[in-house]
Amino acid sequence: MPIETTDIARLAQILENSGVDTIEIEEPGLTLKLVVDTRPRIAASASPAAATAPAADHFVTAKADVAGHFRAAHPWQDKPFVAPGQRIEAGAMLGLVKIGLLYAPVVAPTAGIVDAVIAENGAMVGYGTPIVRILPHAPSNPLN
Amino acid sequence: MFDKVLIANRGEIALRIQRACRAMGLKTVVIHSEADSDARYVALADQALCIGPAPANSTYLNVAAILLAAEVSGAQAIHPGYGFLSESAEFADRVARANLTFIGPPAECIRTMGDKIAAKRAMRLAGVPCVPGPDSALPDDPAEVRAIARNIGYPVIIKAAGGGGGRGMRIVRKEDALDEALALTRAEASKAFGNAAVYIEKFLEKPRHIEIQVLCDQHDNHLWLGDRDCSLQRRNQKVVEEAPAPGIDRALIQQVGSSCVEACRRIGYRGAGTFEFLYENGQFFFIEMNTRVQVEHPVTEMTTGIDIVKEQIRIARGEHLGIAQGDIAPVGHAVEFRINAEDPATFTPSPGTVTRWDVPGGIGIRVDSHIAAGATVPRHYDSLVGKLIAHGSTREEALARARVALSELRAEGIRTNVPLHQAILSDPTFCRGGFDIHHLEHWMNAKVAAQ
Repeated sequence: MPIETTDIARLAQILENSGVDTIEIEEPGLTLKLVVDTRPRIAASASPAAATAPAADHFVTAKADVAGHFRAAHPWQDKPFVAPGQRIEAGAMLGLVKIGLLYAPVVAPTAGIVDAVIAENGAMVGYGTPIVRILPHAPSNPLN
Repeated sequence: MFDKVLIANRGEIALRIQRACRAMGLKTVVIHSEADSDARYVALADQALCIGPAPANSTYLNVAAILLAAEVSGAQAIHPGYGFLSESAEFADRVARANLTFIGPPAECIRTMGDKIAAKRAMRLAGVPCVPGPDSALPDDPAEVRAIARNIGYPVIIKAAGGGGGRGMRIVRKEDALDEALALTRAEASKAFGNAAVYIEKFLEKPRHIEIQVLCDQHDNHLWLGDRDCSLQRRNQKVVEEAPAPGIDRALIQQVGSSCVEACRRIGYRGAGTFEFLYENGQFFFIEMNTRVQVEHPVTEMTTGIDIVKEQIRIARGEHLGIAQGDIAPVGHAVEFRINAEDPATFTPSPGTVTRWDVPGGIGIRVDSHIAAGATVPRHYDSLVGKLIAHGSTREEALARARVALSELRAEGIRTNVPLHQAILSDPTFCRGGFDIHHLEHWMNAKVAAQ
Protein backbone atom coordinates (compact mmCIF):
# COMPACT_ATOMS: atom_id res chain seq x y z
CA MET A 1 0.00 0.00 0.00
CA PRO A 2 1.65 3.31 -1.05
CA ILE A 3 1.80 6.03 1.60
CA GLU A 4 -0.06 9.21 0.63
CA THR A 5 0.60 12.73 1.88
CA THR A 6 -2.71 12.63 3.73
CA ASP A 7 -1.55 9.47 5.55
CA ILE A 8 1.58 11.31 6.72
CA ALA A 9 -0.52 14.17 8.09
CA ARG A 10 -2.75 11.66 9.89
CA LEU A 11 0.23 9.75 11.29
CA ALA A 12 1.78 12.99 12.56
CA GLN A 13 -1.50 13.83 14.30
CA ILE A 14 -1.63 10.39 15.94
CA LEU A 15 2.00 10.71 17.11
CA GLU A 16 1.37 14.13 18.59
CA ASN A 17 -1.78 13.04 20.40
CA SER A 18 -0.18 9.89 21.80
CA GLY A 19 3.04 11.61 22.95
CA VAL A 20 5.26 9.32 20.84
CA ASP A 21 8.06 11.32 19.22
CA THR A 22 9.33 9.02 16.45
CA ILE A 23 7.91 6.41 14.10
CA GLU A 24 9.61 4.53 11.27
CA ILE A 25 7.71 2.63 8.62
CA GLU A 26 9.41 0.41 6.09
CA GLU A 27 8.01 -1.06 2.92
CA PRO A 28 9.87 -2.40 -0.10
CA GLY A 29 11.55 0.58 -1.75
CA LEU A 30 10.28 3.04 0.81
CA THR A 31 11.26 4.19 4.29
CA LEU A 32 9.30 6.82 6.18
CA LYS A 33 10.62 8.37 9.38
CA LEU A 34 8.53 10.91 11.26
CA VAL A 35 10.03 12.83 14.17
CA VAL A 36 7.75 15.09 16.22
CA ASP A 37 9.42 18.16 17.68
CA THR A 38 8.35 17.93 21.33
CA ARG A 39 10.11 21.10 22.47
CA PRO A 40 7.74 23.66 24.00
CA ARG A 41 6.41 26.03 21.39
CA ILE A 42 6.52 29.79 21.68
CA ALA A 43 3.49 31.44 20.20
CA ALA A 44 4.61 34.01 17.65
CA SER A 45 2.19 36.68 18.91
CA ALA A 46 3.44 36.33 22.49
CA SER A 47 7.07 37.14 21.72
CA PRO A 48 8.04 40.77 22.35
CA ALA A 49 10.14 40.93 19.18
CA ALA A 50 7.10 40.06 17.14
CA ALA A 51 5.19 42.95 18.62
CA THR A 52 7.70 45.57 17.49
CA ALA A 53 8.44 43.90 14.14
CA PRO A 54 5.16 42.44 12.97
CA ALA A 55 6.67 40.90 9.84
CA ALA A 56 9.64 39.31 11.64
CA ASP A 57 9.19 36.00 9.89
CA HIS A 58 8.53 37.64 6.56
CA PHE A 59 12.07 38.87 6.02
CA VAL A 60 13.88 37.52 2.99
CA THR A 61 17.59 36.92 3.29
CA ALA A 62 20.03 37.31 0.42
CA LYS A 63 22.70 34.62 0.82
CA ALA A 64 26.12 34.03 -0.67
CA ASP A 65 26.21 31.18 -3.16
CA VAL A 66 29.97 30.75 -3.23
CA ALA A 67 32.76 30.75 -0.64
CA GLY A 68 34.96 33.84 -0.55
CA HIS A 69 35.50 37.24 1.09
CA PHE A 70 32.51 39.57 1.28
CA ARG A 71 32.88 43.06 -0.18
CA ALA A 72 30.09 45.53 0.64
CA ALA A 73 31.37 48.03 -1.94
CA HIS A 74 32.73 47.94 -5.48
CA PRO A 75 36.58 47.70 -5.32
CA TRP A 76 36.87 51.16 -6.95
CA GLN A 77 34.41 52.85 -4.63
CA ASP A 78 34.02 53.48 -0.92
CA LYS A 79 30.22 53.69 -0.86
CA PRO A 80 28.60 50.31 -0.20
CA PHE A 81 26.15 48.91 -2.76
CA VAL A 82 23.24 49.18 -0.29
CA ALA A 83 22.47 50.67 3.12
CA PRO A 84 19.64 49.98 5.61
CA GLY A 85 16.39 51.69 4.66
CA GLN A 86 17.23 51.67 0.98
CA ARG A 87 14.51 50.59 -1.48
CA ILE A 88 15.75 47.93 -3.91
CA GLU A 89 14.41 46.03 -6.90
CA ALA A 90 14.63 42.25 -7.31
CA GLY A 91 18.02 41.38 -8.85
CA ALA A 92 19.74 44.50 -7.44
CA MET A 93 23.42 44.13 -6.61
CA LEU A 94 23.86 43.91 -2.82
CA GLY A 95 27.55 43.10 -2.59
CA LEU A 96 30.35 41.00 -3.99
CA VAL A 97 32.14 37.83 -2.95
CA LYS A 98 35.82 37.97 -3.83
CA ILE A 99 37.59 34.72 -4.75
CA GLY A 100 41.15 35.49 -5.74
CA LEU A 101 40.82 37.71 -8.81
CA LEU A 102 37.15 36.85 -9.29
CA TYR A 103 34.17 38.76 -7.98
CA ALA A 104 30.79 37.02 -7.73
CA PRO A 105 27.69 39.19 -7.22
CA VAL A 106 25.20 38.81 -4.38
CA VAL A 107 21.81 39.89 -5.75
CA ALA A 108 18.46 40.66 -4.14
CA PRO A 109 16.09 37.70 -4.40
CA THR A 110 13.12 40.07 -4.03
CA ALA A 111 12.16 43.74 -4.23
CA GLY A 112 11.83 45.54 -0.89
CA ILE A 113 13.61 47.62 1.69
CA VAL A 114 17.06 46.74 3.04
CA ASP A 115 16.65 45.97 6.74
CA ALA A 116 20.28 45.18 7.55
CA VAL A 117 23.58 44.22 5.95
CA ILE A 118 24.42 41.18 8.09
CA ALA A 119 27.78 40.17 6.66
CA GLU A 120 30.80 42.16 7.74
CA ASN A 121 32.89 43.77 5.02
CA GLY A 122 35.94 41.58 4.34
CA ALA A 123 34.61 38.57 6.26
CA MET A 124 35.00 35.06 4.92
CA VAL A 125 31.59 33.79 3.81
CA GLY A 126 30.46 30.42 2.48
CA TYR A 127 27.57 28.99 0.52
CA GLY A 128 24.37 29.97 2.34
CA THR A 129 25.92 32.65 4.59
CA PRO A 130 23.28 35.40 5.15
CA ILE A 131 24.44 38.67 3.56
CA VAL A 132 21.53 41.13 3.54
CA ARG A 133 18.13 41.04 5.26
CA ILE A 134 15.30 42.48 3.18
CA LEU A 135 11.77 43.45 4.13
CA PRO A 136 9.93 42.57 0.92
CA HIS A 137 7.14 44.62 -0.60
CA ALA A 138 3.77 43.08 0.18
CA PRO A 139 2.57 40.88 -1.34
CA SER A 140 5.95 39.19 -1.25
CA ASN A 141 6.96 37.67 -4.53
CA PRO A 142 10.47 36.23 -4.14
CA LEU A 143 12.43 35.19 -7.20
CA ASN A 144 13.69 32.00 -5.61
CA MET B 1 56.59 23.74 1.29
CA PHE B 2 52.90 23.61 2.20
CA ASP B 3 51.70 24.26 5.75
CA LYS B 4 47.96 24.52 5.11
CA VAL B 5 45.98 21.51 3.88
CA LEU B 6 42.48 21.57 2.39
CA ILE B 7 40.55 18.40 3.24
CA ALA B 8 38.28 17.59 0.28
CA ASN B 9 36.20 14.95 2.00
CA ARG B 10 33.73 14.40 4.84
CA GLY B 11 32.90 12.03 7.69
CA GLU B 12 35.39 9.94 9.61
CA ILE B 13 38.17 10.26 7.02
CA ALA B 14 37.96 14.09 7.11
CA LEU B 15 38.56 13.89 10.87
CA ARG B 16 41.33 11.27 10.41
CA ILE B 17 43.20 13.53 7.94
CA GLN B 18 42.64 16.56 10.17
CA ARG B 19 44.14 14.73 13.16
CA ALA B 20 47.23 13.83 11.16
CA CYS B 21 47.65 17.44 9.96
CA ARG B 22 47.21 18.92 13.43
CA ALA B 23 49.70 16.49 14.96
CA MET B 24 52.20 17.63 12.30
CA GLY B 25 51.55 21.31 13.08
CA LEU B 26 49.81 21.93 9.75
CA LYS B 27 46.76 24.17 9.44
CA THR B 28 43.56 22.62 8.11
CA VAL B 29 40.85 23.98 5.84
CA VAL B 30 37.66 21.95 5.72
CA ILE B 31 35.20 22.30 2.86
CA HIS B 32 31.73 21.01 3.56
CA SER B 33 28.13 20.92 2.38
CA GLU B 34 25.23 22.55 4.21
CA ALA B 35 24.25 19.08 5.48
CA ASP B 36 27.62 18.70 7.26
CA SER B 37 27.81 22.20 8.81
CA ASP B 38 27.55 20.86 12.37
CA ALA B 39 30.23 18.15 12.02
CA ARG B 40 32.97 17.89 14.61
CA TYR B 41 35.87 18.30 12.16
CA VAL B 42 34.21 21.47 10.78
CA ALA B 43 34.34 23.02 14.25
CA LEU B 44 37.94 21.84 14.77
CA ALA B 45 39.24 23.27 11.48
CA ASP B 46 41.39 26.40 11.30
CA GLN B 47 39.07 27.47 8.49
CA ALA B 48 35.80 25.92 7.37
CA LEU B 49 34.05 26.81 4.15
CA CYS B 50 30.55 25.77 3.18
CA ILE B 51 30.72 25.33 -0.58
CA GLY B 52 27.22 24.19 -1.48
CA PRO B 53 23.98 22.38 -0.70
CA ALA B 54 23.85 18.73 0.39
CA PRO B 55 24.19 16.80 -2.90
CA ALA B 56 27.75 15.53 -3.46
CA ASN B 57 27.70 16.80 -7.05
CA SER B 58 27.46 20.37 -5.74
CA THR B 59 30.15 19.92 -3.10
CA TYR B 60 32.48 16.94 -2.56
CA LEU B 61 32.50 16.19 -6.30
CA ASN B 62 32.54 19.83 -7.40
CA VAL B 63 36.11 20.41 -8.61
CA ALA B 64 35.64 24.12 -9.40
CA ALA B 65 34.13 24.90 -5.99
CA ILE B 66 36.94 23.01 -4.19
CA LEU B 67 39.69 24.80 -6.14
CA LEU B 68 38.04 28.19 -5.49
CA ALA B 69 37.88 27.33 -1.78
CA ALA B 70 41.61 26.54 -1.85
CA GLU B 71 42.24 29.94 -3.47
CA VAL B 72 40.10 31.79 -0.91
CA SER B 73 41.60 30.00 2.10
CA GLY B 74 45.19 30.05 0.96
CA ALA B 75 45.57 26.28 1.29
CA GLN B 76 48.54 24.98 -0.70
CA ALA B 77 47.72 21.27 -0.68
CA ILE B 78 44.59 19.13 -1.07
CA HIS B 79 44.00 15.75 0.55
CA PRO B 80 41.22 13.89 -1.28
CA GLY B 81 40.63 11.10 1.29
CA TYR B 82 38.85 8.07 -0.20
CA GLY B 83 35.84 7.92 -2.54
CA PHE B 84 34.60 11.21 -4.11
CA LEU B 85 37.49 12.70 -6.18
CA SER B 86 40.30 10.59 -4.70
CA GLU B 87 40.77 8.46 -7.81
CA SER B 88 40.05 11.11 -10.42
CA ALA B 89 43.15 11.69 -12.57
CA GLU B 90 41.40 14.78 -13.95
CA PHE B 91 41.10 16.24 -10.43
CA ALA B 92 44.75 15.47 -9.62
CA ASP B 93 45.73 17.25 -12.86
CA ARG B 94 43.61 20.31 -12.12
CA VAL B 95 45.00 20.56 -8.57
CA ALA B 96 48.53 20.53 -10.00
CA ARG B 97 47.62 23.09 -12.69
CA ALA B 98 46.35 25.40 -9.92
CA ASN B 99 49.88 25.19 -8.43
CA LEU B 100 48.64 23.20 -5.46
CA THR B 101 50.02 19.90 -4.13
CA PHE B 102 47.79 16.86 -4.60
CA ILE B 103 48.36 14.55 -1.63
CA GLY B 104 48.36 11.35 -3.64
CA PRO B 105 50.06 9.70 -6.60
CA PRO B 106 50.85 11.41 -9.93
CA ALA B 107 47.75 11.78 -12.17
CA GLU B 108 49.40 9.44 -14.68
CA CYS B 109 49.47 6.57 -12.14
CA ILE B 110 45.80 7.14 -11.27
CA ARG B 111 44.95 7.05 -14.97
CA THR B 112 46.84 3.81 -15.61
CA MET B 113 45.36 2.04 -12.59
CA GLY B 114 41.86 3.36 -13.36
CA ASP B 115 41.97 1.51 -16.68
CA LYS B 116 41.81 -2.10 -15.49
CA ILE B 117 43.34 -3.44 -18.74
CA ALA B 118 46.29 -1.04 -18.62
CA ALA B 119 46.73 -1.86 -14.93
CA LYS B 120 46.83 -5.59 -15.59
CA ARG B 121 49.40 -5.13 -18.34
CA ALA B 122 51.60 -3.03 -16.03
CA MET B 123 51.32 -5.67 -13.29
CA ARG B 124 52.23 -8.55 -15.62
CA LEU B 125 55.33 -6.63 -16.72
CA ALA B 126 56.37 -6.21 -13.09
CA GLY B 127 55.90 -9.89 -12.34
CA VAL B 128 52.75 -9.44 -10.20
CA PRO B 129 50.57 -12.59 -10.48
CA CYS B 130 47.33 -11.87 -12.40
CA VAL B 131 44.05 -13.70 -13.08
CA PRO B 132 44.34 -15.89 -16.24
CA GLY B 133 43.09 -14.00 -19.31
CA PRO B 134 44.56 -11.55 -21.85
CA ASP B 135 45.68 -8.08 -20.75
CA SER B 136 43.95 -6.45 -23.71
CA ALA B 137 40.42 -5.35 -24.54
CA LEU B 138 38.20 -7.96 -26.16
CA PRO B 139 37.89 -7.84 -29.97
CA ASP B 140 34.54 -6.91 -31.57
CA ASP B 141 34.06 -10.29 -33.28
CA PRO B 142 32.07 -12.59 -30.91
CA ALA B 143 33.67 -15.65 -32.57
CA GLU B 144 37.13 -14.47 -31.52
CA VAL B 145 35.85 -13.83 -27.98
CA ARG B 146 34.43 -17.39 -27.85
CA ALA B 147 37.85 -18.75 -28.78
CA ILE B 148 39.53 -16.69 -26.03
CA ALA B 149 36.96 -17.83 -23.44
CA ARG B 150 37.37 -21.48 -24.44
CA ASN B 151 41.12 -21.07 -24.07
CA ILE B 152 40.76 -19.70 -20.49
CA GLY B 153 38.13 -22.29 -19.56
CA TYR B 154 34.66 -21.65 -18.08
CA PRO B 155 33.45 -20.09 -15.85
CA VAL B 156 34.76 -16.72 -17.00
CA ILE B 157 33.98 -13.15 -15.96
CA ILE B 158 33.55 -10.20 -18.32
CA LYS B 159 34.59 -6.86 -16.80
CA ALA B 160 34.43 -3.23 -17.86
CA ALA B 161 37.89 -1.68 -18.25
CA GLY B 162 36.65 1.47 -16.52
CA GLY B 163 34.82 -0.37 -13.73
CA GLY B 164 36.04 -1.51 -10.34
CA GLY B 165 34.84 -2.14 -6.81
CA GLY B 166 32.53 -4.89 -8.05
CA ARG B 167 30.71 -2.76 -10.61
CA GLY B 168 30.40 -3.50 -14.34
CA MET B 169 31.01 -7.24 -14.39
CA ARG B 170 29.17 -10.40 -15.43
CA ILE B 171 29.88 -14.09 -14.84
CA VAL B 172 29.49 -16.53 -17.75
CA ARG B 173 29.34 -20.27 -17.01
CA LYS B 174 28.54 -21.66 -20.46
CA GLU B 175 29.48 -20.71 -24.00
CA ASP B 176 25.87 -20.19 -25.15
CA ALA B 177 25.47 -17.35 -22.62
CA LEU B 178 28.63 -15.56 -23.73
CA ASP B 179 27.34 -13.40 -26.61
CA GLU B 180 24.50 -11.87 -24.64
CA ALA B 181 26.65 -11.22 -21.54
CA LEU B 182 29.27 -9.57 -23.72
CA ALA B 183 26.75 -7.23 -25.37
CA LEU B 184 25.15 -6.30 -22.04
CA THR B 185 28.46 -5.58 -20.26
CA ARG B 186 29.67 -3.48 -23.21
CA ALA B 187 26.46 -1.43 -23.21
CA GLU B 188 26.64 -0.90 -19.43
CA ALA B 189 30.32 -0.03 -19.58
CA SER B 190 29.90 2.75 -22.12
CA LYS B 191 26.92 4.11 -20.21
CA ALA B 192 28.30 3.92 -16.65
CA PHE B 193 32.03 4.48 -17.17
CA GLY B 194 32.16 6.22 -20.58
CA ASN B 195 34.49 3.48 -21.79
CA ALA B 196 33.00 0.57 -23.76
CA ALA B 197 36.18 -1.54 -23.53
CA VAL B 198 35.66 -4.86 -21.74
CA TYR B 199 38.05 -7.70 -20.94
CA ILE B 200 37.73 -11.30 -19.86
CA GLU B 201 39.22 -13.33 -17.02
CA LYS B 202 38.95 -16.72 -15.40
CA PHE B 203 36.19 -16.58 -12.75
CA LEU B 204 37.34 -17.81 -9.35
CA GLU B 205 34.60 -19.61 -7.43
CA LYS B 206 35.67 -19.31 -3.79
CA PRO B 207 38.44 -16.75 -3.48
CA ARG B 208 39.51 -14.73 -0.47
CA HIS B 209 40.15 -10.99 -0.83
CA ILE B 210 43.70 -10.22 0.27
CA GLU B 211 45.42 -6.88 -0.26
CA ILE B 212 48.89 -5.38 0.14
CA GLN B 213 49.50 -1.84 1.49
CA VAL B 214 52.33 0.13 -0.11
CA LEU B 215 54.01 3.49 0.62
CA CYS B 216 56.38 5.19 -1.84
CA ASP B 217 58.24 8.50 -1.51
CA GLN B 218 59.65 10.79 -4.22
CA HIS B 219 63.19 9.50 -3.64
CA ASP B 220 62.89 5.97 -4.97
CA ASN B 221 62.00 4.41 -1.62
CA HIS B 222 59.21 1.85 -1.98
CA LEU B 223 57.79 -0.16 0.92
CA TRP B 224 55.06 -2.69 1.48
CA LEU B 225 53.55 -2.63 4.97
CA GLY B 226 51.95 -6.06 5.08
CA ASP B 227 48.71 -7.69 4.05
CA ARG B 228 45.02 -7.38 4.95
CA ASP B 229 42.21 -9.90 4.63
CA CYS B 230 38.97 -8.19 3.56
CA SER B 231 36.97 -11.29 2.65
CA LEU B 232 33.97 -10.49 4.85
CA GLN B 233 31.84 -8.64 2.29
CA ARG B 234 28.23 -8.02 1.39
CA ARG B 235 27.47 -7.04 -2.22
CA ASN B 236 31.17 -6.28 -2.80
CA GLN B 237 31.19 -3.93 0.20
CA LYS B 238 33.71 -4.77 2.90
CA VAL B 239 32.20 -5.24 6.36
CA VAL B 240 35.11 -6.50 8.50
CA GLU B 241 38.83 -6.34 7.65
CA GLU B 242 41.87 -7.73 9.42
CA ALA B 243 45.66 -7.83 9.35
CA PRO B 244 47.46 -10.10 8.81
CA ALA B 245 45.49 -12.60 6.68
CA PRO B 246 45.17 -15.80 8.74
CA GLY B 247 46.52 -19.12 7.50
CA ILE B 248 48.49 -17.99 4.44
CA ASP B 249 52.11 -19.01 3.90
CA ARG B 250 54.18 -15.98 4.99
CA ALA B 251 56.91 -16.73 2.44
CA LEU B 252 54.31 -16.49 -0.36
CA ILE B 253 53.03 -13.15 0.97
CA GLN B 254 56.65 -11.89 1.13
CA GLN B 255 57.02 -12.76 -2.52
CA VAL B 256 53.76 -11.02 -3.51
CA GLY B 257 54.66 -7.97 -1.40
CA SER B 258 58.04 -7.70 -3.14
CA SER B 259 56.37 -7.91 -6.56
CA CYS B 260 54.05 -5.02 -5.56
CA VAL B 261 57.08 -2.93 -4.60
CA GLU B 262 58.64 -3.75 -7.97
CA ALA B 263 55.42 -2.67 -9.75
CA CYS B 264 55.46 0.66 -7.83
CA ARG B 265 59.07 1.26 -8.91
CA ARG B 266 58.23 0.61 -12.56
CA ILE B 267 55.16 2.85 -12.74
CA GLY B 268 56.77 5.64 -10.68
CA TYR B 269 54.19 5.33 -7.93
CA ARG B 270 54.10 7.86 -5.09
CA GLY B 271 52.12 7.99 -1.86
CA ALA B 272 49.95 5.32 -0.28
CA GLY B 273 48.29 2.62 -2.35
CA THR B 274 46.77 -0.83 -2.17
CA PHE B 275 47.14 -3.83 -4.44
CA GLU B 276 44.01 -5.97 -4.28
CA PHE B 277 44.24 -9.71 -4.93
CA LEU B 278 41.99 -12.73 -5.02
CA TYR B 279 43.54 -15.72 -3.26
CA GLU B 280 42.46 -19.27 -4.06
CA ASN B 281 44.17 -22.67 -3.75
CA GLY B 282 47.42 -21.16 -2.50
CA GLN B 283 47.72 -18.66 -5.38
CA PHE B 284 47.41 -14.86 -5.59
CA PHE B 285 45.71 -13.10 -8.53
CA PHE B 286 45.89 -9.30 -8.93
CA ILE B 287 42.49 -7.64 -9.50
CA GLU B 288 43.03 -3.89 -9.10
CA MET B 289 45.06 -1.18 -7.43
CA ASN B 290 43.51 1.57 -5.29
CA THR B 291 45.56 4.74 -5.66
CA ARG B 292 44.49 6.32 -2.35
CA VAL B 293 44.21 5.68 1.37
CA GLN B 294 41.62 3.01 2.15
CA VAL B 295 38.87 2.77 4.74
CA GLU B 296 40.63 -0.22 6.32
CA HIS B 297 44.10 1.40 6.61
CA PRO B 298 43.94 1.41 10.45
CA VAL B 299 44.44 -2.37 10.78
CA THR B 300 47.82 -1.98 9.10
CA GLU B 301 48.61 1.05 11.27
CA MET B 302 47.81 -0.98 14.39
CA THR B 303 50.07 -3.91 13.44
CA THR B 304 52.99 -1.88 11.99
CA GLY B 305 52.82 1.24 14.16
CA ILE B 306 53.14 3.37 11.00
CA ASP B 307 50.83 6.39 10.63
CA ILE B 308 49.82 5.95 6.97
CA VAL B 309 48.02 9.31 6.60
CA LYS B 310 50.95 11.19 8.15
CA GLU B 311 53.33 9.40 5.76
CA GLN B 312 51.09 10.38 2.80
CA ILE B 313 51.44 14.03 3.82
CA ARG B 314 55.19 13.77 4.47
CA ILE B 315 55.67 12.16 1.05
CA ALA B 316 53.67 14.95 -0.64
CA ARG B 317 55.95 17.46 1.13
CA GLY B 318 58.89 15.76 -0.57
CA GLU B 319 60.29 14.25 2.60
CA HIS B 320 62.07 10.89 2.76
CA LEU B 321 60.33 7.82 4.16
CA GLY B 322 62.18 7.39 7.41
CA ILE B 323 61.64 3.63 7.39
CA ALA B 324 63.42 0.77 5.63
CA GLN B 325 61.71 -2.45 4.57
CA GLY B 326 63.73 -4.37 7.17
CA ASP B 327 62.37 -2.13 9.97
CA ILE B 328 58.79 -3.18 9.32
CA ALA B 329 57.93 -5.92 11.79
CA PRO B 330 54.16 -6.33 12.21
CA VAL B 331 53.07 -7.04 15.79
CA GLY B 332 49.95 -8.99 16.74
CA HIS B 333 46.62 -8.93 14.97
CA ALA B 334 44.10 -6.16 14.23
CA VAL B 335 40.45 -6.33 13.14
CA GLU B 336 38.26 -3.46 11.93
CA PHE B 337 34.46 -3.39 12.10
CA ARG B 338 32.73 -0.80 9.92
CA ILE B 339 29.93 0.82 11.90
CA ASN B 340 27.16 1.87 9.52
CA ALA B 341 23.96 3.81 10.21
CA GLU B 342 21.70 1.11 8.82
CA ASP B 343 19.26 -1.57 9.86
CA PRO B 344 21.32 -4.61 10.98
CA ALA B 345 18.93 -7.02 9.23
CA THR B 346 17.62 -5.22 6.14
CA PHE B 347 20.59 -2.85 5.59
CA THR B 348 18.21 0.06 4.92
CA PRO B 349 20.08 3.31 5.65
CA SER B 350 19.09 4.92 8.96
CA PRO B 351 19.93 8.62 8.81
CA GLY B 352 18.90 11.00 11.58
CA THR B 353 20.14 12.71 14.69
CA VAL B 354 22.36 10.70 17.03
CA THR B 355 20.95 11.26 20.51
CA ARG B 356 23.45 9.11 22.37
CA TRP B 357 26.94 7.96 21.38
CA ASP B 358 28.95 6.01 23.97
CA VAL B 359 32.36 5.07 22.62
CA PRO B 360 34.23 2.00 23.90
CA GLY B 361 37.87 2.10 24.98
CA GLY B 362 40.54 0.18 26.80
CA ILE B 363 43.73 -1.55 25.74
CA GLY B 364 43.94 -2.35 22.05
CA ILE B 365 40.75 -0.47 21.14
CA ARG B 366 40.64 2.40 18.64
CA VAL B 367 37.51 4.14 17.39
CA ASP B 368 37.75 6.40 14.34
CA SER B 369 34.50 8.33 14.16
CA HIS B 370 33.28 11.86 13.49
CA ILE B 371 30.10 11.24 15.49
CA ALA B 372 29.22 12.73 18.87
CA ALA B 373 25.87 12.93 20.66
CA GLY B 374 23.77 15.50 18.81
CA ALA B 375 25.50 14.86 15.48
CA THR B 376 23.45 14.40 12.33
CA VAL B 377 23.86 11.53 9.90
CA PRO B 378 22.70 13.07 6.60
CA ARG B 379 20.82 10.88 4.16
CA HIS B 380 22.82 12.17 1.20
CA TYR B 381 26.04 10.23 1.69
CA ASP B 382 27.19 6.72 2.54
CA SER B 383 26.21 5.35 5.92
CA LEU B 384 29.66 4.85 7.52
CA VAL B 385 29.57 6.51 10.95
CA GLY B 386 32.73 5.05 12.38
CA LYS B 387 35.20 2.20 12.57
CA LEU B 388 35.98 0.11 15.60
CA ILE B 389 39.47 -1.37 15.47
CA ALA B 390 40.63 -4.01 17.96
CA HIS B 391 44.28 -5.00 18.31
CA GLY B 392 45.68 -7.93 20.29
CA SER B 393 48.82 -10.03 20.46
CA THR B 394 46.86 -12.82 18.76
CA ARG B 395 43.74 -12.94 16.58
CA GLU B 396 41.80 -14.50 19.49
CA GLU B 397 42.80 -11.66 21.79
CA ALA B 398 41.79 -9.05 19.19
CA LEU B 399 38.38 -10.72 18.74
CA ALA B 400 37.85 -10.96 22.51
CA ARG B 401 38.59 -7.24 22.89
CA ALA B 402 36.26 -6.47 19.96
CA ARG B 403 33.40 -8.35 21.66
CA VAL B 404 33.76 -6.27 24.82
CA ALA B 405 34.10 -3.04 22.84
CA LEU B 406 31.00 -3.71 20.72
CA SER B 407 29.00 -4.42 23.89
CA GLU B 408 30.08 -1.01 25.28
CA LEU B 409 29.25 0.92 22.12
CA ARG B 410 25.85 2.58 22.39
CA ALA B 411 24.24 4.54 19.61
CA GLU B 412 20.73 5.93 19.90
CA GLY B 413 18.63 7.96 17.48
CA ILE B 414 19.94 5.96 14.54
CA ARG B 415 20.10 2.22 13.98
CA THR B 416 23.53 0.68 13.45
CA ASN B 417 24.92 -2.66 12.26
CA VAL B 418 26.52 -3.34 15.68
CA PRO B 419 24.16 -6.34 16.27
CA LEU B 420 25.34 -7.80 12.95
CA HIS B 421 28.97 -7.52 14.06
CA GLN B 422 28.11 -9.18 17.36
CA ALA B 423 26.44 -12.07 15.51
CA ILE B 424 29.46 -12.36 13.18
CA LEU B 425 31.72 -12.63 16.24
CA SER B 426 29.77 -15.68 17.39
CA ASP B 427 30.01 -17.42 14.01
CA PRO B 428 32.52 -20.32 14.28
CA THR B 429 33.65 -19.93 10.63
CA PHE B 430 34.46 -16.26 11.17
CA CYS B 431 36.26 -17.05 14.43
CA ARG B 432 38.35 -19.71 12.68
CA GLY B 433 39.33 -17.27 9.90
CA GLY B 434 40.23 -17.98 6.30
CA PHE B 435 36.66 -17.89 4.86
CA ASP B 436 35.96 -16.84 1.25
CA ILE B 437 34.27 -13.65 -0.04
CA HIS B 438 30.84 -15.34 -0.25
CA HIS B 439 30.83 -16.49 3.37
CA LEU B 440 28.93 -13.54 4.87
CA GLU B 441 26.09 -13.70 2.31
CA HIS B 442 25.80 -17.51 2.61
CA TRP B 443 25.80 -17.27 6.40
CA MET B 444 23.12 -14.54 6.39
CA ASN B 445 20.95 -16.51 3.94
CA ALA B 446 21.27 -19.62 6.13
CA LYS B 447 20.22 -17.60 9.18
CA VAL B 448 17.15 -16.25 7.38
CA ALA B 449 16.24 -19.76 6.14
CA ALA B 450 16.56 -21.17 9.67
CA GLN B 451 14.05 -18.68 11.07
